[in-house]
Amino acid sequence: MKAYNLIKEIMKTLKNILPILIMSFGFIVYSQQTPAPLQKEVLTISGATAHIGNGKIIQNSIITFENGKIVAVADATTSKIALRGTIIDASEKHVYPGFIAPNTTLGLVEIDAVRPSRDLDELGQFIPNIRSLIAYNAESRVVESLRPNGVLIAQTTPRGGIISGTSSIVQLDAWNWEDAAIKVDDGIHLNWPESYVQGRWWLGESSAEKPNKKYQEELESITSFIVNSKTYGKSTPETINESYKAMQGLFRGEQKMFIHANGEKEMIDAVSILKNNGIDNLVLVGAYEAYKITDYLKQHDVPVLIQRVHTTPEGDDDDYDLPYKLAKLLVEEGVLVALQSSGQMSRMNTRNLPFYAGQVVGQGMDKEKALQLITENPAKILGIDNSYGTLEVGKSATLFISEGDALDMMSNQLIKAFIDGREISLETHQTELWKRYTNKYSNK
Amino acid sequence: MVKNGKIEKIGKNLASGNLLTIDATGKHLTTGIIDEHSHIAATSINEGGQNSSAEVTIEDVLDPEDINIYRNLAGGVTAIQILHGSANPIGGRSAIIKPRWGADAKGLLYKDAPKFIKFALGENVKQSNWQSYSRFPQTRMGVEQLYVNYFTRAKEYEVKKLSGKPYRYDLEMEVLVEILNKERFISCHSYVQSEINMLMKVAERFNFRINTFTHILEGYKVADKMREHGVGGSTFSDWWAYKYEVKDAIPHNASIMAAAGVTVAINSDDAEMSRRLNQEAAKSIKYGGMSEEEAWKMVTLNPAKLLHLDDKVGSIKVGKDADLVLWSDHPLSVYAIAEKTLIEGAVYFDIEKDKLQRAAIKKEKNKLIKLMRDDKDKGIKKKIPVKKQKKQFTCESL
Amino acid sequence: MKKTLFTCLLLISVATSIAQDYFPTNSGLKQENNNYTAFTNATLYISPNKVIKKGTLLIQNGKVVESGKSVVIPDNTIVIDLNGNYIYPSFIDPYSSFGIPKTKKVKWENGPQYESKREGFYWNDHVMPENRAIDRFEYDRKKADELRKAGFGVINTHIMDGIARGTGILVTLNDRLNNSERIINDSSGQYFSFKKSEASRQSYPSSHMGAIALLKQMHYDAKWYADGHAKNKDLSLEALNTNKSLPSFIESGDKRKNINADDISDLFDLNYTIIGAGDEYEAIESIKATQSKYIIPINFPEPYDVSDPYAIKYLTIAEMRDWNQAPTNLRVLSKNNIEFALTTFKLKKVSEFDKNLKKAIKYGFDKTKALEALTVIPAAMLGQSDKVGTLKKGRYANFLIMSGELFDEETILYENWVQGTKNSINSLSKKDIRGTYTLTTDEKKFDISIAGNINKLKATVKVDTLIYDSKLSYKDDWVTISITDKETKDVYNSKALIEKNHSNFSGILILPDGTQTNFTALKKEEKKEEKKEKQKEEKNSHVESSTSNLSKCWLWLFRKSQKTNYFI
Repeated sequence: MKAYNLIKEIMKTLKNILPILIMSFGFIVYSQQTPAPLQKEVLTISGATAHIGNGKIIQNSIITFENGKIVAVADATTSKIALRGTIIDASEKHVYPGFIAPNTTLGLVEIDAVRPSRDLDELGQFIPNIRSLIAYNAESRVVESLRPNGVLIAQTTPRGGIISGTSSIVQLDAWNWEDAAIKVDDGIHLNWPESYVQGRWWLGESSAEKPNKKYQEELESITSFIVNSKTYGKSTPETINESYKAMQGLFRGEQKMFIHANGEKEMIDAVSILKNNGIDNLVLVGAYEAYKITDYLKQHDVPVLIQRVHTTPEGDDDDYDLPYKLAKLLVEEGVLVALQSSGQMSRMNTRNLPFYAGQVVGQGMDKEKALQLITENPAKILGIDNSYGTLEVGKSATLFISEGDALDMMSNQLIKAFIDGREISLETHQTELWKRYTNKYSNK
Repeated sequence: MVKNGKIEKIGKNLASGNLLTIDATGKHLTTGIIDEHSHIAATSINEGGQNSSAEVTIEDVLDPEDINIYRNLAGGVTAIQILHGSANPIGGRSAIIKPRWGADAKGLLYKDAPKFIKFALGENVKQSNWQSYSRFPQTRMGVEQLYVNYFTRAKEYEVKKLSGKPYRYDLEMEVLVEILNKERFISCHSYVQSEINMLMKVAERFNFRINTFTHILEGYKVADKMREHGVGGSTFSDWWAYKYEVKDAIPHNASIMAAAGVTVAINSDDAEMSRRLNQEAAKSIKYGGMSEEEAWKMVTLNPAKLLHLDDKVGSIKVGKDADLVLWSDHPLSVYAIAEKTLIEGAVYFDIEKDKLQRAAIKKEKNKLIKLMRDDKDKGIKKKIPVKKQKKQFTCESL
Repeated sequence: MKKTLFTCLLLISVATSIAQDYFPTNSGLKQENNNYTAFTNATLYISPNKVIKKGTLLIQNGKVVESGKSVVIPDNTIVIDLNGNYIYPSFIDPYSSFGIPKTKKVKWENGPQYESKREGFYWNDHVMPENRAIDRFEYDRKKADELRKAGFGVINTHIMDGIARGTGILVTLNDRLNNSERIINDSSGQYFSFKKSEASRQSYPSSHMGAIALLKQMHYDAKWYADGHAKNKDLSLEALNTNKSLPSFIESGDKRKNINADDISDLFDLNYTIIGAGDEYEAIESIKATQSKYIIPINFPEPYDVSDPYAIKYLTIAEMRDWNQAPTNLRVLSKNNIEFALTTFKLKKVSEFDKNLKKAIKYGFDKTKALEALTVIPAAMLGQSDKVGTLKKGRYANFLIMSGELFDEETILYENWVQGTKNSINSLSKKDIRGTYTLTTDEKKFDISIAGNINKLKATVKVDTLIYDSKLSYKDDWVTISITDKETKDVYNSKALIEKNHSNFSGILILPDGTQTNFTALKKEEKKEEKKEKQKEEKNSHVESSTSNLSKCWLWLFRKSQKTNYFI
């Protein structure tokens, strides 16, 4: 009897501490976070400053979402709606739509220097059939490190060659690429040839960039490929050509073509050749000199994913702050612009996307307008604005609560974040190491 | 109040007399930013031909016309250490400069600066990331033995030198002897905790201390040992995932090391980040909850301490050099822009002057193009303009 | 004409016999020619600062016997009256690789090479002070001809490869003699640079700072070796020590490397002559502070093609300023009292030398200083002032005969004499036929105006006011003019021999219908005022509108910092 009671006592204690044991055990063993389950209950965030994402702002807001969708966005001072479901008191805090990072290579490379972990660039020049989505590692440590900064959605893109492949848009809290996908095969990426190319030092040439003698030839090869793709689609083919087949969405207007080009001449050549050959939905990526041809871009209705804000100017004579203000120069002229993070160490730097928007504010842009560059604008450009990009009724509840202004690193501090209404974990491999070692020193 | 290049007085309602007054209402004045680890303003960065290159010095190869100097000024930087790269366990001597745009190479140098040398640990020195397999060391184990061997030989060299007998003057050994005699300080590129610990032990064995570990991305794992040894940490704010050895790098590194009592600085190692070190410092407020004062110190007073210059620069204090920056907003905010940057009282960057100069350059360019067009020398085939790619150096550049 | 030919032949035979006086002759009789040659009535520049009007230069067996106002002329002298033409000492190029074949690049192999591949030499393969230019020298006639046309008579050449390059040789550009007579000095100096050798793949030094350290350590090691402490044999250091007293030259590469070179020179008391890059003007204060001697190339940047608006955006202001201001370099150096010699080094074509130097003079470089930089200064740098650089007694008979003042646009270089051997570049006796003439045929009266550069004459032909197409060629005293009527396509061809003493000339004329007849071209007298006007005009057109930019030189880059007292 005594023994039985003892065992019962032990079991009781065990029962109490078991969850804690399991949690801490899980804490150490699983370095990837477990994706959040579906939203079960209605949630209302009350009292926060809501940054809608389209330039508007509500100081004292009520945001309610249910079954993954936003069902109410209201101003608490004027509206009389009831606060439904579980209420999250967010007074003095800020709510934002989840930030969207276009043109990334997230999930395709884990460590730059480790070749086996690189799935970025396939062999071949014209390979639109290559799809980034299926190589996307939804459990990448780099991907999870973006969430605590507010980046919740990204476009993952192959690189290399002339036509690199087809991108897709994913949300950053998922078990696998299938669950992650928001928009499958959204666009095809084209790297426009440059009219100036670097000398080949191994052949003794000077490293300065000289006019590219093969430029015209390269343009013709692109035109030829597009014409052939279009022609292929006009009839039922005898044999399937995967490359041509993959291009059909462009001609049907279902996919966008992302043109990676920086020079004036290159951009004008690209837009002109592609439109003449039946591809109308175009986006320019990089577009360093776009500020020189804003009228042309507006005339042809081409939006721009501007070169990463935190880069050094290209030429010695360029204004020292030119990359900082490129977005502003374009927005002032009425071009649709979004920010992106490609460049040196692009994947891990994508978590700095909010601060790129902050940098543009420093150049003289209104905060809410700068916010658009990473919310509504990329949503429009990527074609996901019916569900994402702003805090509006009917859209997905993909948003987060920050202690302070999320565009400034001093105050960007996420408390909670939601993707499609699911409350996601803000822990990462890095926060775990932080906690582990902070404990090490405080427990000494 | 600034006089003769130094800070004369600090206070409220001081009499301005007949001094030039700059109205800074609504703005923020700070001391200039100090970048402990940079590779700008030099025409070469790595001497990779041998596994030890202490005989070379960056001071010989400074490039005062590097536009990055101007860009750094526009970011509020007033003192920079230009380090040798990380090709070898023992690298070359560094140069400490003040970015005096317009000066020649000798004019950039910080007068009577303490002497430093670059060491390196990690993947780069064992040539892991490029096709070279014949140079010792090829493992971290070999790196330790290399240090022990060089320092032992340096000790022997010094004995010979002091003995009065004839000896072969060796530039490299001379520099290593300086290290042993604590006349020259080491800033060591490092990543994983094992190698960090190793080098501290080697130094202790030879009776000196490592001055600074730079990059030090796993410094948070051995912060207590670092504090005990007396070494400082000069790190990135949030870089990681580019090499295998940085897989455990965390942006909270600076906060943890600082909390453990290590002197922590934030550096750039990069021409792009060096323009925004104020923002990089602010990231530690986000990652790890550092206070604003401590964060700001990481790019001002702490790097000054690591460079042994904290009696002259690093804060606004009477008697220190008037290296000042006037910001449009809170200096740790992403919204802040440097409007004026002064080095020892002289304005080296002024945002208004910059606008005027842009216009002037445009005008001059037009004039020169016209001259070129009119150059009717028929014997010459005119050159097609080429786009010169200026090399941006990093630790790895060979 | 015949007289000149005879003189030529005479001189050839003189040249061949002076040299090999103790060599047996198997091809004919062994006999000597000890005749003198005297050039009288010359505007004689004995040295850049000593000019004698109506002077005489007396030479024999390749050397100057006497030079001055009144010179005793021996009986066996060929006397050439120059009629006021100018004699200058010919130029010396102190830095070249003339006659030395380019070093072949070593074969590429996988993986870097860290160790040296030599035994018995210095531990670094890029240090080769044991190399000797004389071992690889092969006289290059074609290049010698180009150099003589540019006014050079003597050239200093070495193996342009490596960080320590060994010794060089001083050679005259004399086609007739062989190497035993051409080579004035077979160890003319020691040569260094910061660039690695093409012939070795040894990695160190992979950077400029490494090259600096290597040069320093090399000198420390040389001393160590000279004191007898080394345990091994090192032929490189032995050569370095043996050649210590020779003049030393170092090729730097840019204005900052000049300072690096000077630092090494000062550290070891090497007295380097530094071969600069032409950008000294950009940092003239620091160059002046080196107190070093320089050899300065004049390969000024070419202008850029600015017709494509997309291309010009790549042109930085620094490049444009460089193009605009580089020709002022010589003037700036000279104004700052920096001693320097000129060279053809770095020029793509030797023919650019004259043009570029004239440009520098137009931009303010003094003519006398230019001549010094081509004669006495390089001679002194090479320690050969007793042999070359001036036309003083005992020096080599290396001189130029010119129609006028050196560096004038109008001046023609007639002859370049090397070691007493004549090299004719333009016919001395060629008459200047510029002017306006009337050529009358049965039907037409042509007004012909011959003008332009003395070596590139152009004819403008008019009948009344109608212009006719024409082609003119003037060679070996014969002038050929062909005139075409633009409308009827009729062609008139004429050819005439120009006689020295007559202003008019006459010859044959082939009419459009094929008949051959005679013609006379009568020279029109040019009014004196007109001529003066013309000369004035030509002078003014040279003033550069860019000189106003000189005062704005690098202002943007080179601000002086103002120590101002502030109240913030």
